[in-house]
Amino acid sequence: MDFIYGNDPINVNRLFPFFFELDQFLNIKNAGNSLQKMNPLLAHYPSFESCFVVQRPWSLQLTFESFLEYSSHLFILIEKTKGLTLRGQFIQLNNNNTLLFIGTPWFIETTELSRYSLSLQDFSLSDSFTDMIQFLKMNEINNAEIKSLAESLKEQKKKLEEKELLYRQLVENATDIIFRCNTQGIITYINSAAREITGYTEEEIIGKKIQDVVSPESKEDVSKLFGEQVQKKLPKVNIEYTIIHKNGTRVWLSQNSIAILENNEIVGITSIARDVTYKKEAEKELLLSRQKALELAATKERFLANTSHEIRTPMNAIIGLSGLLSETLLTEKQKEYVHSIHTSAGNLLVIINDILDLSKIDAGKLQLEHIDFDLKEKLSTLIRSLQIKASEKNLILTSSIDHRISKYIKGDPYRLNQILMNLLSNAIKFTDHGRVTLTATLLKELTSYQIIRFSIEDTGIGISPDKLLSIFDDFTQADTSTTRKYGGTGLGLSICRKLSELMEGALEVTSTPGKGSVFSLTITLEKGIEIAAGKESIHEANPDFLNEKSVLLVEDNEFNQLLAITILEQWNAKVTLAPDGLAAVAAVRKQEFDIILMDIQMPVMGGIEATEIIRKELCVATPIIALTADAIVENIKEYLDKGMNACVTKPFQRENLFEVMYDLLSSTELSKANK
Amino acid sequence: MYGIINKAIEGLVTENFGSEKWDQIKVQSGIKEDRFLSNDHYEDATTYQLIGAASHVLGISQNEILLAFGKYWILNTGHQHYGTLMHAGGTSLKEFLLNLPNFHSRVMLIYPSITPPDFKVFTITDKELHLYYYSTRPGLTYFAEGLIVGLAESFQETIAVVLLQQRVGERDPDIFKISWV
Repeated sequence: MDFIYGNDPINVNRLFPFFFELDQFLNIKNAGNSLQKMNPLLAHYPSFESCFVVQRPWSLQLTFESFLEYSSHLFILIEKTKGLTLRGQFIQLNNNNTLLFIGTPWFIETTELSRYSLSLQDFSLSDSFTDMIQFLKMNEINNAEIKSLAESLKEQKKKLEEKELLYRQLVENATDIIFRCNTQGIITYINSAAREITGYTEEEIIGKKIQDVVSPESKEDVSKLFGEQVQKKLPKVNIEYTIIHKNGTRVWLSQNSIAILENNEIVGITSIARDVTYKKEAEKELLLSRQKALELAATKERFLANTSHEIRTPMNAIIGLSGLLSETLLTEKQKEYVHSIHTSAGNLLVIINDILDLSKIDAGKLQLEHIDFDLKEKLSTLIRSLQIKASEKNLILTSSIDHRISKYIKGDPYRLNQILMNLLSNAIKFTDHGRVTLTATLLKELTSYQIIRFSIEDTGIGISPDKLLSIFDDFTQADTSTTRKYGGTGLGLSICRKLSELMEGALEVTSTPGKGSVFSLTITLEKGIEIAAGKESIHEANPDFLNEKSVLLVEDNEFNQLLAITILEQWNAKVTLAPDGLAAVAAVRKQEFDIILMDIQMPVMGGIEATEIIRKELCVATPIIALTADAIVENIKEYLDKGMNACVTKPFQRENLFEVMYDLLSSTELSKANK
Repeated sequence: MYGIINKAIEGLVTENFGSEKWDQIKVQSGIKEDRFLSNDHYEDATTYQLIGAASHVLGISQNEILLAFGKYWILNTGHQHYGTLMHAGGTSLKEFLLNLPNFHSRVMLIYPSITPPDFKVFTITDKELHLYYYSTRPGLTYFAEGLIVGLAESFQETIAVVLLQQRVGERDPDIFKISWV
């Protein structure tokens, strides 16, 4: 069907593919292609009523006149075969006997296109209906997407809230302070622990600077570190500092500060701080206790040194003078008394030496020698020195030395001798009948070392099994009755054990009460090299060596003066006495001496000061021997450093003093002769 | 481009390689968006960055990705979003291709900010036609080829596609020869 528009016919079907014409009898005499596709009967002049139902206007009469009457109304028709809804209008054509329906399908979902088997080509290009439908479809999709997004956001929000709750609970229930501040150091958040530890409420502390609560002594450190962290963008810093609690007390905090970064810029700092006040106080107390303990140890050491000195000074006179007295003409009874005095003084000296040794070992100040020595000779001397004691008790004292043991050993001969001497003395002391035997056995031969066991076996009283473990403890003897009967301090074995440990050896004991004991020292000793043969007994070889030698004796104690003068005069030396250092210096100014015997602790001027003056001011090189009751090794080194040439410890043995004097005078004379 | 394009790339990657790879691609591309909205407009560069990053992360050439993306677009996104419209676009591949110009005009009405491609179809024989693909965007030749292959699969037709000429200037078309076997 064509319309004439002006002079041009227009194909209605292209513009309105769903049109149809209705004659005055309401028969459809012409229908558009798309409509015919829906219902092919439309091509066969069907009645309107057989093809369509009028939905609107509902009051329409199925008469041509009624259609004309409603021509200004919107018509909604339902196509009967497919149920397709058409919306449109009727127009009366010029011949007045025909009505033209112009309309298009209506539905609200694009899926209906396929339901009615319609394609886009079934619609006029000018008809926007399908595009609108698709538009609605897109809106539906968008709405679904937004709904999904909203649900997803809701879920995320829920998860975030759960997380936040978890973290909030963790932060709020934490026992450590957690706080946050901005880059200016202004506090923006604190947890409940912070409130408890600082004493401040949230209102009091939020908005304040950290510096406001930091103690004056920590302010500089805290400011410096905070500044560095912000400036250098340090991810984490640690600091220990003090704050002032609201109640005025100091609280120690150990703090980790973590930088909060946004786009690589620090926007704030979160800090976790632990209250370490108790720990700090404990550390402080520990330090104080340590200092006190050290002071106490030093006091003890000083006390022991002083006591030792004070005891040794009169002991020198007692031992020396009783020795001299015993050489005079005495009755048997007097000899016995003198012998008792001499022996008791000797025993007392052993005790003093033991206590000094123990004190040195406990203070870690005992230095072991590491020198070559003749082991076999040492053992032989040791046995010889104890033979008198053994024979006094009718005991047989013997020794047996494994021939494979190296003659020369490297180690500390004095301390090894001390241990063995102590063990042998004990064996003799606690044995009334039978024998005491020292056996040295080679246990293992190594390239440079030998493992040697020294066994001291006796047939004495023995030790009960329950006491075996404790006899090496300080001040312990097997029995209190032992002390009453045999004397001693209970320090000997303790010193032996400690000395053997210092030498990395092991001291063990086996014993049967009533039958005897075996003490074994197992020790690894380095093989030594041959040393020069020992000097002959010089005082025997040159008994008149000191004849006419001028000796300056510097000594304040009148009894020791008496002892020294007596001995020196026995050697025919010419003795000048100076009661103190000042007098000694004056004497040296006046006169030249062959040798000076110098006490250390004296009134007016001590021996060290006097020596320094003699050496530095007077520039006199006369040999000086320190003759002192001070037995501390470190002090003896000091005397030598100050210019003295040797040291003889009080109480001294005559032979020892003679030997030292002989050595010094011989070398001095030799050097004079060489000049 | 509309977010629907980027969502389609996301769908292609996650369905075939998993969501972890998609996360890696997003990181590699440097794109900050957590998710795309179909109806939001995004810079063209975003799409190109995603394609480039996908190629790098998956170790597949960009052309292969574009080809796969074209197919995915028709068989998944197109059907989900424009299913009926596409169905109404024709009953055969040929009919659909002939209607492509009108189809894209209609799409433009729905997406006002879109710059849709234009098409010209020249029937050579019953079994062969030449499709001219005009786009203002460069580098989408293989995407167009993927669309043709996807459409053929959608209409269950077997075809051969040959690229006769590739776009050089902005006004030049990619020309595909499509023949039915």
